[in-house]
Amino acid sequence: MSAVAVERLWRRRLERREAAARLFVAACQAATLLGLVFLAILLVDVARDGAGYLRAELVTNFPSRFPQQAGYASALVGTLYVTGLMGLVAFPLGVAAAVYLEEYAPPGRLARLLEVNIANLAAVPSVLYGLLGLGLFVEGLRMGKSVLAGALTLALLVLPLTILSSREAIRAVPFSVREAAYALGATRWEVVRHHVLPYAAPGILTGTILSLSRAVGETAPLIMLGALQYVPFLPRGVWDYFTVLPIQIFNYVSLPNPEFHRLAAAGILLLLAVLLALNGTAIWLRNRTRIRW
Amino acid sequence: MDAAVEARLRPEVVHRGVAPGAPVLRTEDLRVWYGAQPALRGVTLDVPERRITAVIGPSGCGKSTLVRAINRMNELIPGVRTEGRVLFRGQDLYGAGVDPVEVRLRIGMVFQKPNPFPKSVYENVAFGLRLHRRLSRRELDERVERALRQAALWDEVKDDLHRKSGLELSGGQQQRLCIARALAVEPEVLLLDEPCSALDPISTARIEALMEELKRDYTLVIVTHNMQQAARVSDFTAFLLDGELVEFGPTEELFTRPRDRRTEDYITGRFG
Amino acid sequence: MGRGRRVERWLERGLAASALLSVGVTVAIVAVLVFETIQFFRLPLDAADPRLVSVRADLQRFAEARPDLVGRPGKLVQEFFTETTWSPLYSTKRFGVLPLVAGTVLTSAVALAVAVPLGLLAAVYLSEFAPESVRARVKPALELLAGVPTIVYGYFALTFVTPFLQDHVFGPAMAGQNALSAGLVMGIMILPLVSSLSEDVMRAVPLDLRYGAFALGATRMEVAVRVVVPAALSGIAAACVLALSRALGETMIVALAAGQSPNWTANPLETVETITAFIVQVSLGDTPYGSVEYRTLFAVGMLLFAATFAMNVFSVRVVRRFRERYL
Repeated sequence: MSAVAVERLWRRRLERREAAARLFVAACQAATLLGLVFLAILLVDVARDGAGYLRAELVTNFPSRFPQQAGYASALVGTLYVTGLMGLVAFPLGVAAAVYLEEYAPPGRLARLLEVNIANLAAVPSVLYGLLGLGLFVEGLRMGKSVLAGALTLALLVLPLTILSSREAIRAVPFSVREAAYALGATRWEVVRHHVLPYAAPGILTGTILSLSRAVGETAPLIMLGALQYVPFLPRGVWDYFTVLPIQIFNYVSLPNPEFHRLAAAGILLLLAVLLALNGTAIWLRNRTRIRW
Repeated sequence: MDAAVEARLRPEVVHRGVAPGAPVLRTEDLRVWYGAQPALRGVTLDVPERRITAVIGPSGCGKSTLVRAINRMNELIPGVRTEGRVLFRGQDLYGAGVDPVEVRLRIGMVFQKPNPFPKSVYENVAFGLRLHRRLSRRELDERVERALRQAALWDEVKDDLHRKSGLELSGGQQQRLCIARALAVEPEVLLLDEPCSALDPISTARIEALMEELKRDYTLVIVTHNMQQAARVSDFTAFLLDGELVEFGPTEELFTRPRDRRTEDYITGRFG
Repeated sequence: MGRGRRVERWLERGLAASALLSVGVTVAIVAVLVFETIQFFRLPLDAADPRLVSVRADLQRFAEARPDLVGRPGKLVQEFFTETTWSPLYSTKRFGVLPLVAGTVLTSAVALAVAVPLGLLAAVYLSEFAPESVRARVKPALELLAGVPTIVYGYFALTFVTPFLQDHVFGPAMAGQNALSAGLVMGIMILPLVSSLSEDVMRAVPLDLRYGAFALGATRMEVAVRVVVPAALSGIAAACVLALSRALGETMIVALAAGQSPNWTANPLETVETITAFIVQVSLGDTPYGSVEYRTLFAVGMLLFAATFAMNVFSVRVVRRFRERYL
């Protein structure tokens, strides 16, 4: 083989390699795009299906056998109720655990165990939290299938997320701030109370809202807790039966009548609106109050 | 066509009868910006064939930028803009239709911090070969051995070629592995960007001795912040300041009779 | 001073207790599942106890349907793990869990077949090729996919994807509820799990390595495929395992779109029931505490927990080791 032939071979190989590279980059781009396109199709499809039912009755009427008269009043209120109650439980616990892990816990086996445990908890399927709630709260503690049992179960579900996001926010406070406060003779708690927490507050709040929003969309664990499908009243106390938006949607999707599917689509739009409001608030909060170190 | 030439990856471009010491690589009014920040402000430099050229200057003067512009590594960094020409055996490496992949094959590079791949020693050296040519196992083995011998690393690694990861070698060995990796694809020019700055004095001495060897077959350009090193190893020296070439000439001349006042200030340690 | 110190100490204990609560949650999950699973495998013993059977209609039905199991818990264990009929809600009362396992594996396999290639390509694009401005916008947009409530995906799989595939690809061979549609949609849902985590580990691969490969004349693709991906492989594997674990535990998509009839099959066009869908199915009905149906919930839940927990422990450990190596 002559030198020229070798050179030609090499060049042809280079052309092939470059062509493969161009194809590969395009494939990567296409794969990325595909996820986004899918999301767009999904949203358009749901919006088209549900548009007809977007009217005031959607949020003022109770569930009904007749799709024209059915609405999400009890589900919407139930969602807000359960989410609020869950936040009251998960927020302080999550922040306290995060403060302990970031500011107090001596590095070592315990800290490692806690860390691994929290990471693992965050990945436990939500349906299993439902079984936990059923065995522990509903039956074990005799709470019955109540708002309280639902809120506590969801609180345990979002707790690891709350801890993780709060830790991140606390970690973002530079060490120099703590040093400065210690140098002034502050105790550890005073440093936390007057410096770390206030500076980390926007991040903590944002993270908490985001983890709450995760629970808003949760369906599976609440089915186990018997979030009843037909609830023609608004919950008045923590011991009442309740339903929430995703459950009500699930109920309508399961019915054979396609009219109910459209009602479900409208419910999905309602659910997405609630999520959008929550996430929007979180992002707004973050952008407004973030401290740039 | 004799076997030695056929065995090369790209036989036709090698040595075309250029005499050692004659200019082979030329930057022409080379300008580079990082965003709006100029890093090279028009450098014109002739690099001689099969000689060692040192590029010296205070940190931030554009030494690294200059060598990285030669093999078009700069364009991997977002926001970098390059103007001017780099002529290699008469061809503009920035010309239309020139593939940077080919440029980098012909002009190899060794980096400041040894950067072996997290693969075995053998795979490190074979990496470039596998990209450019389909080779039989035996040919591959031969070439890997040859490159490791050229980099004076063979005796230290030959028993553990496949089992030992490149990351398990010492710093000096890692850098020689990176040199072997670069030599394996048979570049015509080897750029060394402060290759000894992360190494101890003994490893540094080995690399310097190695460069002396390589000079017989390769054109070498070494960036160094260490003036003694430049004086020890190089045949020619370029002094850069603030992105401009202040002075270029035979090393001995530049160090003993600098023509420019700034060169004198620098080599006598008055700044930098 | 003394009082302040005491208050501080109590505060610290309170904080520590909150942190320990997370361990308590894990313990509680395990305890509830283990306890009720034992209750499930004790069914044959309870059914052999005349006092219990006389007051419990469900035990009575169990004893009548499966006289062969009464008093023989070992046989129930064997049946649970080896037989291929699952009908605890029907009068036949067979307890072979394999059809649920098959349904779970089948839908998850489809999901992975979608999510792993797409997620990896997307991760390579975001980490290696996309300009920073594009990456900053596209990455959070992709992560939106993981934030959409799963009930929405379930609706979409059931009312859009399945009819679409029936009309244009498979025709009537595809059941109205099937593993394929559920798996496809689930794959999209877990895509950001694969892509985000993989992208994180790829970006953690030092730039030096890429430069080293470029300097040898590698193309962009060769740098990505032969250097970056291998260097990030352990982290990528962890991301995929985490995604698999999420797919195994996903509930609403499969409950709606894959169906609720246990089916010992490997055909993705058929209706299947997953472990999670079975849990939903039972929960929708009336399940009195301690009944046969109630106990099956926890037995299959235990199975799901064991599988996902093992995967999570693995991936958490691998990711941490990866971080220690490069960061």
